[in-house]
Amino acid sequence: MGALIAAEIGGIALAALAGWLVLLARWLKGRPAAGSWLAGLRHVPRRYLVDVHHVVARRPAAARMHALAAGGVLSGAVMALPAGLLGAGRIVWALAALAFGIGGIGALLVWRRRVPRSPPGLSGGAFLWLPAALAAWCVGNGLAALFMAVGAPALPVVLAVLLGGAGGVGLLRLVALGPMRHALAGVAWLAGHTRPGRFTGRDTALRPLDLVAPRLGVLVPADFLAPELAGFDACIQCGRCEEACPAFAAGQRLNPKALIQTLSAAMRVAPAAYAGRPAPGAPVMDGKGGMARPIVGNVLHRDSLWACTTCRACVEECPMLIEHVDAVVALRRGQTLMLGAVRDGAAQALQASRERAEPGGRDLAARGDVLATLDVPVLPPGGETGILLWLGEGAFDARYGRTLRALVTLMRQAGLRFATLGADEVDCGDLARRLGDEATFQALAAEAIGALKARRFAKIVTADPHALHVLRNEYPALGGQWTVQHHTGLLDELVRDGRLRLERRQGGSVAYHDPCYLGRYNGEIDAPRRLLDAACGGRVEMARHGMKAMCCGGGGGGPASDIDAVTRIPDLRMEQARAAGAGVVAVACPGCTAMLEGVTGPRPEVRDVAELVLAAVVAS
Amino acid sequence: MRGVVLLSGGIDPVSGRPAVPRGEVAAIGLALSAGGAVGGLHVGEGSVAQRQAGGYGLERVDCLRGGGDAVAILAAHLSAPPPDLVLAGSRACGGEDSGMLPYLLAERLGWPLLAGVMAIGAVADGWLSVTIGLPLGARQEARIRLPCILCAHDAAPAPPFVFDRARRVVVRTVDVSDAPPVPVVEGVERPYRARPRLIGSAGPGGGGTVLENPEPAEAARVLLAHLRALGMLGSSEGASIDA
Ligand code: SF4
Ligand code: SF4
Repeated sequence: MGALIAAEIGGIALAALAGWLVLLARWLKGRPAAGSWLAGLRHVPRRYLVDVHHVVARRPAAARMHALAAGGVLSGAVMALPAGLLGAGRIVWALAALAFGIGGIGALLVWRRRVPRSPPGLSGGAFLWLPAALAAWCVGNGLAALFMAVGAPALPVVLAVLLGGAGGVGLLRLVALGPMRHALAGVAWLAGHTRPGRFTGRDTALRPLDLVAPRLGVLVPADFLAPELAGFDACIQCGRCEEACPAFAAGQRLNPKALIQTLSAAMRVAPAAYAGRPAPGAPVMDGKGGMARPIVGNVLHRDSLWACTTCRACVEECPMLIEHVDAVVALRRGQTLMLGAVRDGAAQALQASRERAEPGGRDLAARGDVLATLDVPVLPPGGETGILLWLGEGAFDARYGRTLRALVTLMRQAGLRFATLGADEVDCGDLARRLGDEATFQALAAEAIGALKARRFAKIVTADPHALHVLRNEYPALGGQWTVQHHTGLLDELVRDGRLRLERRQGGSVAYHDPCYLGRYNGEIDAPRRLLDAACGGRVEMARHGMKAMCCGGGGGGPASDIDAVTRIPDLRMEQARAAGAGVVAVACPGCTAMLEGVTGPRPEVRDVAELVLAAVVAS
Repeated sequence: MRGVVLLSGGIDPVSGRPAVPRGEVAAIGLALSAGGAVGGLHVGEGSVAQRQAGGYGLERVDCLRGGGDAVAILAAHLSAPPPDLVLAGSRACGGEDSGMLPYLLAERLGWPLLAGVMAIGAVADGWLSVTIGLPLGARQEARIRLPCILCAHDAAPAPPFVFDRARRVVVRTVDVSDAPPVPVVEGVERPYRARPRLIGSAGPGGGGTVLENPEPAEAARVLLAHLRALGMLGSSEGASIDA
């Protein structure tokens, strides 16, 4: 009887292995990744138990469900298989029965998740069969193990094994249909994760593209890296990404979950049906999939691609640690570099970046104009200063000029020595890079790095988190390494070591809006809050703040691409500030300032942290 | 149809960096819409701008290296064997380049020229039909005998820039024999003289008159009447087109 159980469980396990190899063969049609995929397998247990669990555990109910179901299903099988093969005592069978029993409870929780009401972010379809298959597997095999433990006659064991086997076949079927695929693909994805730096710290910089490669970016599924393809298959359709996505919330034609599912389906000629929410308002794209068939315009709507603000909210929430932004940028690179198929506004910004080194097409010499009254020195090539002030795109905007003037005034008060690059400051290339124009990005980066290398300074300070991210995290791969600080970090430092003294101003309550490129991209969420606590009266938090903050809609070339929406992202964000009872929204980014200032009607005031600090500073 | 697009030096007026002028991008678009092979032609050393022109769809750019009058160099190069169509922008950007060039070239080659071209149609019996863009969005259909020179309207649809094409464009430097230098036109220095301002006395406006195949005398009469209405000519005393 033990052999029968072993044969059933072993058979299912072997079939699962075969299924995994079939998947693997498909993924391997992608581009080879750097480093050994196989060697990555040794990291899987840790990445799974620590990193994946860390995200899953943010929703305790889901974590409990998953731990019980996955733990029961696997540990029961792991005990029962050798017990059946080698013959084992009743204790082992009893333990196996217990494990399957736990799995059964897990199956119950899986069922409870969608009954009586299914949360809108979850997929239906084949997922509705998942609890039944899990339950059959656990109950059948659990009973068989129990009967072995108590020494029951053959018939009940056979019947139990049949039930368990049916459950196993069901689970295998659910691999093909999607719901159980994450278990097999997840192992491969975690082993070959394309951002291993995530497991030891932060890893958010886009990778440089080799501009002489024959195919730039991604046009067809086979252009993705092999592990990335496994990553798309690893999606469990939990919907956490879509709940976090600002573009989805604003009714743009993007749903990160549907996007990943589309990319997974794009690999297949006959993909399983997707039963989750689609991208809002996007026409059905029913082109044929296949490893060598175009993705965009065939199975994925163009607008999905350009709606993404690259805010990384989805990445932050994804329990499978999928890298949505990398996928979006890879696809954009294909469209931009290989086909020139970008939205009109974006094309203009890219042309201006190419021809004027400035996406707005303005004269570089005019960048410093907002600081004209403050007489900030311009550092000539060969010159030396303490801090190099990188002004960024925002300097061309009169509103943001107020922020920069506040910052410069504060730096003066603290007695800092600083200068700008003047007309030698080209655009850092952030917009071009996010829009997929890696060629223009690399050209701008080379010029900026050259200009910076020609001067000596202790560090770079910028009030623009996008420039901060590019200079700090993305230039090193291109040969430019400097200490780069955000202005809130600098001001926090000055306040903390007493070079600036603040006296708290009473006033309305202040809510801090975290810029994505400072928070999620760089993990800096505390310094601005410390400054606000020192400078303002009541600070309040919006429901989504810190690493979970919602994007203002300004990043990733979103505004330049001008995608149709039901509502505007900054309007949604401002509503969240209102809901938090904020009289002032504190910002720390030119993009956020422009987006939130653009909200019409009565609303909380928008002030940069530097402006609020300047209002609170007292002579020291 | 074999088309050639004339490329100027390509300097962006704001940044001073290499850039394909808008009108030349439009010219490339027109050339592509006519179908057939399209090459670029530039007199002088090639620069980044010529490479970028490849990004808009040129497969090959020939840079003619030789001293002297660019018009003469182009005329010599274009006459053996002549392409069907030469396209240019309406305004050159860079160095001593000039929007006059296509006109001087047309004169030298004895080819017809049309400016402000928005779209190219079909060829029939050696005549090419084109659409001309007029002010206020008006359009006019016209026909022109091939070979000819067309100056693209700045607002003609521009093809997208594709980096993949730009990196693959073949830029060839062709050494050509020197042409005679451009005769230097000596300027005359005169004291500043205030010009009559048009703006205040501009007449009742209105769309003007369109004459189709008018008699020269009739056309002149209408022009004079119009200028008088604008106050740009004295009153009609003594003036007569018959004079
Ligand atoms: S990065 Fe932001 S905008 Fe883009 S898909 Fe993710 S959540 Fe949506
Ligand atoms: S991509 Fe990640 S967060 Fe989104 S549905 Fe899939 S597993 Fe969940």
